[in-house]
Amino acid sequence: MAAQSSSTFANPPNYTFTSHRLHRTLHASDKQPIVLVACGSFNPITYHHLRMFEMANDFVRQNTNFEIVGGYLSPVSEEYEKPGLVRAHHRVNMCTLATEQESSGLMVDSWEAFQNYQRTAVVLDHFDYEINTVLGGVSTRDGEHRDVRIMLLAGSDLISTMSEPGVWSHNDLDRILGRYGTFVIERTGSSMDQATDSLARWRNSIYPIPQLVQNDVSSTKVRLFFRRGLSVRYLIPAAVIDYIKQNYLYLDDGSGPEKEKGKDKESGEAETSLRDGGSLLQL
Amino acid sequence: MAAQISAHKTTAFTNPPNYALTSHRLRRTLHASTKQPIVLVACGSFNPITYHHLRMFEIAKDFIRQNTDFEIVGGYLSPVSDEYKKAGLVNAHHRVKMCTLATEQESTWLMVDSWEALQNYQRTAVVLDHLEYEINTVLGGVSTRDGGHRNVQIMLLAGSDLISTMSEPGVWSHDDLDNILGRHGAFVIERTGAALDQTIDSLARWRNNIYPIAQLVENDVSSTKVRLFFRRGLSVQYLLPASVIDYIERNNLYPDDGSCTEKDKDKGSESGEADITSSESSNVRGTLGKEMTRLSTN
Repeated sequence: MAAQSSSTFANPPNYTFTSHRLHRTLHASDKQPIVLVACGSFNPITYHHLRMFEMANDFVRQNTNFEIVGGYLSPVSEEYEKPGLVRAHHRVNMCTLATEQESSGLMVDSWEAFQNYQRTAVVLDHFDYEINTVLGGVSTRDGEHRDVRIMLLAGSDLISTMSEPGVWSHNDLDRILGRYGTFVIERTGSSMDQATDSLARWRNSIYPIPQLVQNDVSSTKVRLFFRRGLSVRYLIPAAVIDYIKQNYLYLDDGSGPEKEKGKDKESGEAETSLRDGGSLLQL
Repeated sequence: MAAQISAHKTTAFTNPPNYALTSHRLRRTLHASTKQPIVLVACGSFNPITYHHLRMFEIAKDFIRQNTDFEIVGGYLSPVSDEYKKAGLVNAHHRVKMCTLATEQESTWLMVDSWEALQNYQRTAVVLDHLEYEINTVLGGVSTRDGGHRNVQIMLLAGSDLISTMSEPGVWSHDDLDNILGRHGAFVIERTGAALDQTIDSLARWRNNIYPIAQLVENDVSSTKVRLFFRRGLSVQYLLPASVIDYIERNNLYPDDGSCTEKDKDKGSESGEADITSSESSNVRGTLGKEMTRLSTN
């Protein structure tokens, strides 16, 4: 796979590529090095997102000749204008808290987050450029150079949109699914076959990964829980819960204040617990 | 009927050696004097504990706060005794230790009671009676802000699987059901999409003391699946606390059986699906079998 010819990529101000957890040496010289990239809103990041990488890791190790040398979350730009999408710096911060504290191989790239909307194909091109052209790829143990293959990690929802006519440009699909390749986490119980029929020409570089455990905590539900004062503990990392509370995120859905339901607000309960927790420690 | 619901007379409980109730997170003062103080108790194998178990308590906490006049003053995991002899059940001290790691590090209000874990098998009804004795008789219950005294109601927190077994004839003794559902009471976390109405119909006499709680997020990470993943060398990260994963690995509790090696393994997924199904059903049979054994020896 030839290195991308120097494209003019627009970088956000003061941008540098995060690479502290990128493996620069391939363990097994007969394996093809790859980097997984998950694009999304991450509004907020959840354990489901982190699980996707774990599942892909297992699948790749047990079924392919790839070796994963890094994994990235790439939060979408604010310009994407989805209702309820909180500021990019919050989403980048939450992703960073989650990956730094709860994973050993994941990183966050803020390239698309901090500028104008960038198409997924362009985001993958940017990774290709940063990792293979700027950093120079990886080496085998005997010093041989290898280019890293950038691959998209996605849920089946995203892939479904790819088979809908007119949503994605053919050229972009050709790059994402053909040139780069994709791992697709299947929804439990629903097979990918129909979705990929229309993407048949790229079948060889689309890798469906069955999900053995249903763990469909979605960001949408998490935001709903926050609005309703319901607990999201054990659905998203504790550090992210703290961040959301400290920054008063997700208290409304962006369409106006909600009438408070139920007997007490969750935050009120939390305050009580903290006071109580304090007095318990003195006993 | 009414006589059976009156306060329990002092029972002689057998305690494991050096036993003392863990109570460091038990709140001794009621915040709102109009509320009825309760403690939630989840009985199970916890083989191992998962985030799903911890979620059950969070879901119950929200439900109780938004829909009832109860005030939760504590929550307990009560791992079952080794004597329960379920296939693959690791030693009780491991299961207690894993529950303790999970609750101490990842919760602010949950505790572990090792009373049933570290001795002979104890029926669920007896476990609830024991906690009632420890909390109300030994510790003296809780007080209101103006110094008034209140007894704590000990309530079972369970999934709908457990409650289903309660409506099957002959599995649970009527007296035990009367005690658990009538006297103590239960919160039942519904499986997403499957309503409890039919199950509760057959437990209708205790309907007022059974609180179904809808689950809004499907999160079926079961201990069975976690053990399966360990055996197959698959990642369980984010399904259970990291400290519990470390503990399991250091103590090699659920050894990789080598059934799924790198690359050379082909099409393991079909047999894998069958494994999950057969393990689940044998677990349920195990539960039924044990209660029936107890029944016949009573």
